[in-house]
Amino acid sequence: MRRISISTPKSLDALGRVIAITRRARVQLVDMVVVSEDSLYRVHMKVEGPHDEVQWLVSKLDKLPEVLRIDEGDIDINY
Amino acid sequence: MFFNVGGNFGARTGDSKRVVDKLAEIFKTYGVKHVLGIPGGSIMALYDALYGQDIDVILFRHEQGAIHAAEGYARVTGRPAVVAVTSGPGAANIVTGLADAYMDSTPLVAITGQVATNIFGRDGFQETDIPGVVMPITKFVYQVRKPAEATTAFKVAYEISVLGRPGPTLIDLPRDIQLSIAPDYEERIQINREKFIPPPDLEKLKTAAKYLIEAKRPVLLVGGGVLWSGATPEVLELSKILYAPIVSTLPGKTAVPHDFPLYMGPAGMHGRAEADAALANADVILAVGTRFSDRTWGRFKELQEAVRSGRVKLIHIDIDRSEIGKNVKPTVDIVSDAKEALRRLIDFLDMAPRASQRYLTWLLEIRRKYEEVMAKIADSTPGFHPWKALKVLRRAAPRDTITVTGVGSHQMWTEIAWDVYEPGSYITSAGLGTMGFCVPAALGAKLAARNKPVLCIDGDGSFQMTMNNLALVRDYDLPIVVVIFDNRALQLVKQWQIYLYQRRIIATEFSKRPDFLKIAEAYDIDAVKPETYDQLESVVARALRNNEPLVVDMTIDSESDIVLPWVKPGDWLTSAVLPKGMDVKLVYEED
Repeated sequence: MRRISISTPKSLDALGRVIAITRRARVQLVDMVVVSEDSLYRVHMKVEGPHDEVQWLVSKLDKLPEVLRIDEGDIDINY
Repeated sequence: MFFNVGGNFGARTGDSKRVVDKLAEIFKTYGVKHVLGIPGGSIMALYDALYGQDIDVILFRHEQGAIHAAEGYARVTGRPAVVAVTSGPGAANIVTGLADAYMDSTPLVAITGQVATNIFGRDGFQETDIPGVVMPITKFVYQVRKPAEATTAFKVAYEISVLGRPGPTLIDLPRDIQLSIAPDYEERIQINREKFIPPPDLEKLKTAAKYLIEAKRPVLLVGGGVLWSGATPEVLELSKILYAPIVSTLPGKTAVPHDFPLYMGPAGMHGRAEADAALANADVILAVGTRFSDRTWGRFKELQEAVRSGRVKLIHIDIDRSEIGKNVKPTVDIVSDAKEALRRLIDFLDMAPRASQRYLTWLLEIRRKYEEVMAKIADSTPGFHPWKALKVLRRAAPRDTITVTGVGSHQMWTEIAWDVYEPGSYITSAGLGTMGFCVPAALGAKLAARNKPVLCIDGDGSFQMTMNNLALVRDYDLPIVVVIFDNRALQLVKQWQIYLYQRRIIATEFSKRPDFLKIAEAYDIDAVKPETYDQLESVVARALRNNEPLVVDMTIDSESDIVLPWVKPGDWLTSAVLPKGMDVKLVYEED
């Protein structure tokens, strides 16, 4: 299982775009948390699937201009 | 109160400019010369702001026409055109074109009107959540919620459309926002631009250079990204240095002049046999600006296994990181602009290459046999044969003619048999395969380059989907020449019915209606139904030379119109079905 953490502007449209990409990925979305901050949404996902498919998702998400930052890594239980 | 759209309908000058007036000013600073579309209730304010301005409004007969014209315009100029349509049906009618532009990496900016913000979500007249609809098929979409965001949204949409890998963008402008008094400040829209043009990894380029020098059968696979990047000179230089054949995808066909002797043509479902053979038998493939479409490769299993085992070294250069490894994991992955990466790669080629001349000779022999067989088939076919008709049309058209196609069998014939001489002068709907593309895209191309001849090679099915836009030929003096390959069928689907569905022909044959000559007459355009190749050549040559519009209805016998070579869906490139009498194998045998 992998963790994907994303920052977007605080806009539901940006969030909608993130979800639109994620629903096409060949991974299982195990968990998703959206944390609202002053001007940002921080989206934390846990995904399960083959490494290449997780990478596909990360790189497709990173294409969105609204994705200001994206990190992928091992599961951090403290997110 | 509930239906009060608010705003100031009248203000156009003085201190209190409306948001739309500010937008019209910004259009000019961005060099926008045309706005393409159809007005309606929710976009009237923007059109009103264009009244009397130095921006031409081009009124189409259907919004799909406007969006495809914007694609044609962008492919010629490299710059996005602006499309403005109303909410609801107006916005929904551009969805196909947005998807088409997204698939073929074409920049454009669409502006959709929207109902006033105070009736959002109440199912107001002509309300559609267009940002929600187009999210997966646009590079950037933004619904303006505050007057101060409008000009920023346009600037961001325009810039993003051409930054890195090009693509369509859309801003949705509610009616009350358009009519609001423009504030004297601009709201910031947060996006990350920095990631779009990554520098190439030099160490990976050195590795790629080593593989290319050591290759016996190197092949350059050119995608549409080469054209957008302006990397054609680098591709040709590399080909000469390495003695490597160039193969293209369908969108990449326009990036390489076809009279370059090492260009083999496009590979894939209806590619050229020598191109299929070149790709399938290569030991090193340098793929540039391409997304590894199933249409180019048939299937990926053979390539994946060959790369995994090390038999084939695959080098993939693309500006879009998400394309790397999407379908085939390369040996060397380089995320970069094509031109910059190839320029540096050439610098690293410091030893003599080892490419096999015999391989090239073999590929050129496949080409010779195909041309020989097709000439015989065409000569024995009653009436016009598409392959020969294209040869005749190519003779009739000046070298710099911009050629646009529709989608169908005629398009596949152009993939095989149409020679492109100037990079960027062949425009087609490749990724989405949108019937109806030709006429409006040709109009957009002509709008962008009035001094160049524009030829639309269409099919009868494709033509009928957007022929209403022919009205613009006279309205805006856009003299395009349309040649309809008229087989009265959805021929490519019919071909599949014949060969894959045991000839169960259903819903692919048209009646004789409409009469295309009368359609042309209705739009005040000369039309002709030629009877010989000589007549075809002379009427088209004259119209293109004299910059006169013309519709040519060229009758093709549906039963003879089988597009070959054909790599059937899910087959590997070497399984291509070849025309009868072409007795060659596409598997290379070493000495």
